Amino acid sequence: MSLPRRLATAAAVVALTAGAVFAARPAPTAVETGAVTREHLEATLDVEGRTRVRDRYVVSATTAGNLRRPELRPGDAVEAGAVVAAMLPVDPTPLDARARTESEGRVRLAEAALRQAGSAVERSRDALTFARNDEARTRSLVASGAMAPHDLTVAEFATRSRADELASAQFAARGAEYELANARALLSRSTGAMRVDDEITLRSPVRGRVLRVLQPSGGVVAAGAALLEVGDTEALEVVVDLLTADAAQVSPGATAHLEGTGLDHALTAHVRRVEPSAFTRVSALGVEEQRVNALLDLHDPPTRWRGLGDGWRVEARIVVWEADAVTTVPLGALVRSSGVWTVFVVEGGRARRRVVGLGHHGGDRVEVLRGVRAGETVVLHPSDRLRDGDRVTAE
Amino acid sequence: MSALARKLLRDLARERAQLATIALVMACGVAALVSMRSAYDSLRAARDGWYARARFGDVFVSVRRAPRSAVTALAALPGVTDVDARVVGEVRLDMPGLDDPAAAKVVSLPRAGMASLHTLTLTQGRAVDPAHADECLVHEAFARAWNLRPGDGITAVIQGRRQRLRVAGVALSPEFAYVVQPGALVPDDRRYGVLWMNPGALDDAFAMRGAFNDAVLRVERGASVRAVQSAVDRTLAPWSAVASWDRAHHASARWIEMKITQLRAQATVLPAVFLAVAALLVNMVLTRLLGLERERIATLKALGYTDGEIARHYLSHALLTGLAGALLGVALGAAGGRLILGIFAQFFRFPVLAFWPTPATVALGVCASLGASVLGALHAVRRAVSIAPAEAMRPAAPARYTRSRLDTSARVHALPAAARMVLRELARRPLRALGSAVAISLAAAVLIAGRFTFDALDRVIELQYFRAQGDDVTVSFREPVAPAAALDLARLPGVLRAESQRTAAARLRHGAHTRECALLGLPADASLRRLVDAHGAVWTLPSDGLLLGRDLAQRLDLRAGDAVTVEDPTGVLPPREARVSALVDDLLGTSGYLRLDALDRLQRDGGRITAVALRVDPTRRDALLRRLKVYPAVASTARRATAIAYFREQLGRESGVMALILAAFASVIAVGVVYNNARIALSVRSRELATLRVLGFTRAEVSAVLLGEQAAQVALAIPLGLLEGRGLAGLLVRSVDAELFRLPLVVSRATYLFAVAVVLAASALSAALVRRRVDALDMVAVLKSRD
Amino acid sequence: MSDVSRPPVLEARALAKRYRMGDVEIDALRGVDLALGEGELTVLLGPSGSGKSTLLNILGGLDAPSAGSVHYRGRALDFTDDRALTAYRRAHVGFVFQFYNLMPSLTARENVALVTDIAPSPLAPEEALALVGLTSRLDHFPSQLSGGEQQRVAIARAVARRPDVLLCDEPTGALDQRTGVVVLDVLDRVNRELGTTTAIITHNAVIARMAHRVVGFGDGRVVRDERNTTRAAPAELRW
Repeated sequence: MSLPRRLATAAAVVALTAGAVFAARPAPTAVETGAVTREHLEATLDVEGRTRVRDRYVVSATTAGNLRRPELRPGDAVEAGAVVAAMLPVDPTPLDARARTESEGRVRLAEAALRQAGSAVERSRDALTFARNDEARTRSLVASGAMAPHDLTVAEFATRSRADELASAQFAARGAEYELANARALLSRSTGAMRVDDEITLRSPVRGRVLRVLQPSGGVVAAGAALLEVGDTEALEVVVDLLTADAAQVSPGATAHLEGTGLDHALTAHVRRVEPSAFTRVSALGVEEQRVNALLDLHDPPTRWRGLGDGWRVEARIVVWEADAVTTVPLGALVRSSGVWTVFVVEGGRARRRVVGLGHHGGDRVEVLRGVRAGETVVLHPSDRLRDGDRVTAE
Repeated sequence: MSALARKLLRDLARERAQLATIALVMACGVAALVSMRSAYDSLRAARDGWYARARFGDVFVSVRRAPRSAVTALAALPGVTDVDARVVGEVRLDMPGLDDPAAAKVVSLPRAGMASLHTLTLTQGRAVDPAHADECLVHEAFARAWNLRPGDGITAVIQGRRQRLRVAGVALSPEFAYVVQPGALVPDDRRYGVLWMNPGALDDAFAMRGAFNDAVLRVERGASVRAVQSAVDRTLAPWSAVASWDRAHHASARWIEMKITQLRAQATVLPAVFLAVAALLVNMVLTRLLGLERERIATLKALGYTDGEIARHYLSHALLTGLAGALLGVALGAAGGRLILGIFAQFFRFPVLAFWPTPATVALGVCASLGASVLGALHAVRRAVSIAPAEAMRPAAPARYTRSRLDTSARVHALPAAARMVLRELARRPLRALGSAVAISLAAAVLIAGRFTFDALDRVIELQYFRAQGDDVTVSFREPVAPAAALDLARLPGVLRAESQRTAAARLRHGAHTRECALLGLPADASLRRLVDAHGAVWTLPSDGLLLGRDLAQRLDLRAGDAVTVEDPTGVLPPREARVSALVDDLLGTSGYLRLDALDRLQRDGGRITAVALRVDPTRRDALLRRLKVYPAVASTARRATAIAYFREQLGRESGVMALILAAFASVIAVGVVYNNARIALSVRSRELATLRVLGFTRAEVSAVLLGEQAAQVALAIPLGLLEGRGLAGLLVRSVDAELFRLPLVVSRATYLFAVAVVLAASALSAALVRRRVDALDMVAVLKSRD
Repeated sequence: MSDVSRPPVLEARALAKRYRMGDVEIDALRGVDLALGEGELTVLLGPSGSGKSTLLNILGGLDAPSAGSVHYRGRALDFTDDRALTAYRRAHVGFVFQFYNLMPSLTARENVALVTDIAPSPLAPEEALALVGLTSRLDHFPSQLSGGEQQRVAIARAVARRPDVLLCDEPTGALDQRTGVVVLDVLDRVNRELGTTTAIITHNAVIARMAHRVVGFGDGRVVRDERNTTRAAPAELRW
């Protein structure tokens, strides 16, 4: 064969062989990919709880009588002092000496309660003033850089809590006033100061909404029978129960995200207090567990949670750890291999296995302490057939 | 023996190598036919016989709790001959050495004196003693997996209570001929079994005293099963019955039916391919042979033999080859059929599975072989015999070669003479070249069609177990529980993430169509369990609305955007409306997919969950599983790794054996075609080729002329075969019962390469064999001949 | 022009034949009249390509003429009826070809048996082979026989059926002189002893000397038709 022809044949053979080898390579595996990011990460404790109206008051019959059919329905708004129920008293029996002493005693009790409520209000007011001063001081210190911004948040929160507590104390004080008025009315009636056929009107001691109507139809009721419940629905708190083992991680002031409320956005709350005393409860899985309640206050203004009522189920995710600018990978990228956690990083079209050191877990992302850098791409849900160095294409 | 007969035998002996290859191809076809059909016959006979003997039911229904008095009403329905009402439930079994709990279906035995359906076949031990509440019968598959014998004990957790049961005997039932856990694809005998217990024992555990929750009915011959089903549904409506189903929807029966039907389809397709190739080969070989025998045919005619006698003489070539192929094929087929049956026996729990090749099948195989031979030979013989004798005795005109477009191109002139001869030869008989290429391509196609199921199942594993599922353990509950259960599980040590799931049985109705299906509700931010379709795409669930599997939607005549009525099979909830957002090519079963909160809205119970998917730290997994074992609300914990390993193991075993068998089959075809072609070309053109040698061409160059033609045909056949293979694979995909699962059409590069490699190797082998003959061309004899 | 004393066994009238070979059309016969008498040994002489073989083929019912007719013992051959032609050949005609046309996979005896199996009242194969002097070669394959021996087997095969007509197409064409003479001797003996009407085609004029009649061919036509006054014995022929 002549030289050019030999060269041509050789070239053809080389090309064919190369083509065959190329075709014989396994196709690059199609994989799903995710990104290594630098972002804010939170580790949360996810618990279930329910909303609760903080300040509620039960309006009860001051005396036995014929209750007029109530017109109020649950949800109706009431002002302080508005009439919420009316009843015609039954013939009052003239109080004998013992009964009279009882009534007088009740009055004195109510007066004492009022005094107590008053001093509670005072105490709350003082606490609020202190908190306000503290907040102002902290604000200036933070502005000058002597304290961390986090401390300011704590101080602001403390102020808000004290304000809420003052409101509660005032609510309780009004309730006590109301009780005293009722007791006095009862006493005066029994002494015959009132006429028999005077209709007794019961008024709401506070401004708020009707929570429950306990006596929906009219009729004879006994003295002291609970008629309806009113409360300030804008003063809502959240009660969650924690396993006692988890309670140690939760400190007052911790942020919590509230979800599962049925509203289309999540709400923010802060842990006010973890109650000290635990109780036993059977979990959804059927085992008995020791649990303790934690109280959370809503952070958002009431306009944000207009639809929430009393006793609504919520899922609270209490932040137990958080950090900014943390390198994270999706949970689905982690693969356990030879006793260590690894991920597959996509480099130059190939999957490279890297050992990673993990930190905190938050939701579906995990903190990475070493092994990958932000901006890299990792393989999600790798098949168990994926090997270090395999060619991959992102799907 | 007549002289003509002697000639026949001597001719056959001379062509033995070629005819042997043809006979081999035919034998493959007959073997495939006989083995698969006889396996099919045996399976069907065994199944039908057993169903009849053991009185397998026709209608099955499950109910929440109905009083025994309802049985009389059922028995009185027109068309019903027998009713068996029993208590059925799921229990957990605490087997030593398994971290995750095994599960079992428990069925109550019939009460003394009741006519029973689903008669059990006892393979070991004795029947359960009614006086002993703790005795049970174990299904043979489970007993074998755990090496259980009568007298052994097993620990069962029945409705939260641990109980020690004693195995009285080992049994088989037509109801559980194929034992697979609901939701699983492959039977796992170590993790799921069946137990039969005394009725009294189960009554207490499942609160069924005086009641039943499962019934089986037998319908008399000729009566309408549908009508009986409707009557049963009406009768049991007051007690929240799930709609009854028939054998076509019975869990075990439908799997067996599908596999048997597949076998039957395969028994037609594969042999047809082989016999077609064999017929083609016979045609090719005989045509060329008769071309060579031209003069001799003329002589016989001159000697006074009739056309018929001459035709019969040459047809006998084909017939005897066919007969040889048939005999070999029947022998191989008998062995093969036994093998196939053995494979089925692993999964089909029949008491008796005897291999019974019916004479009809053997006869069919022989006839098919003979038929293929005659078909292939007919045309060639007819043409040869019809030549006028005088013409046959004239030297054949030199083959007509014309100048085609190919010749005028400069590139062709630059080719060496050998290449030009090859090209012209191909151009002269393009159809013949194409025919050979098609025959060779069938070899590649058969290989691809056979192997692709493994590629497809590999992909199913990858999509279903890796992309769709990212969990390590899925915890399922006995009954729907409060959503807080997911939060409780999330806090267990070792749990990295927990996601809720909810499945609800539903009946979808659209116009006149109804279909039972399972609705799966997943949280909006789900990452441990997602909806992945057969193409690998991950679907986001719509905030409101339903995603339906395409097959399911088609059966309901639904399109995206339509409204569908969701009914509760238990009858507790009123019918509700849902909107179909889109159709999905899903992988498994008949399902609808929606967001968890959307499903909660449909079920109107404030949100409950039926399972939780967990991502677990592997170092703490075992401790976690042990802990979960004792939670009363937990019905089962399924480990994804276990399912994957099991599935892979099953596949791996089968695929290895299949690859070997297929390679052998494909080689037979490829060798058959290439070898015969080369041999024929050699004998037709031996003078020509020997002349080339005389002229000074080297042995290699002469081989190139001869084999170049074959090589060109193989080169054409390969891409053709890859296409055909993919087409065949597409047909096979359609044959899978889509209501059970869908097979994606995936052919891996490895499979294509395997096909190419086998065809090339077989062709190379044939070429090497023929090359020896080329080297032995007698130049001297050529110089003496008259042409 | 035949001798009236012997009735013609085989007669051709105005035979014409045109055929295609590849892309070429050939007029092999252009109007031939010929009669073969009972017991005659006729030599059809002519150069190659003159149409002799074509005539022989038509006479033997192997080929159909484009025009004209053939009569066997007065009866016309129906060239459209293939079955009738086969029956005609089977019963009445024996062929001897230039290249022997033996079955390579059968022995000498079996080759002859091919014919005796289907003939109505044949000679035994051994007898036929004895007639041609090949008793010692009964079980040899054609590849083990010389050219002359092969041709003699072919002759034995042809005569074994006791044909009425023996048609030979260049029987010595592939043989050397010495062997050719042997073959011709056999043909002559067969003609004399069995009385078979024989027609021999050749381009070799020397052979014509042993015939009763010589018919000359040229360009598809009969150019002369003579009787030999003296017949030479095959042994005397030299070429």
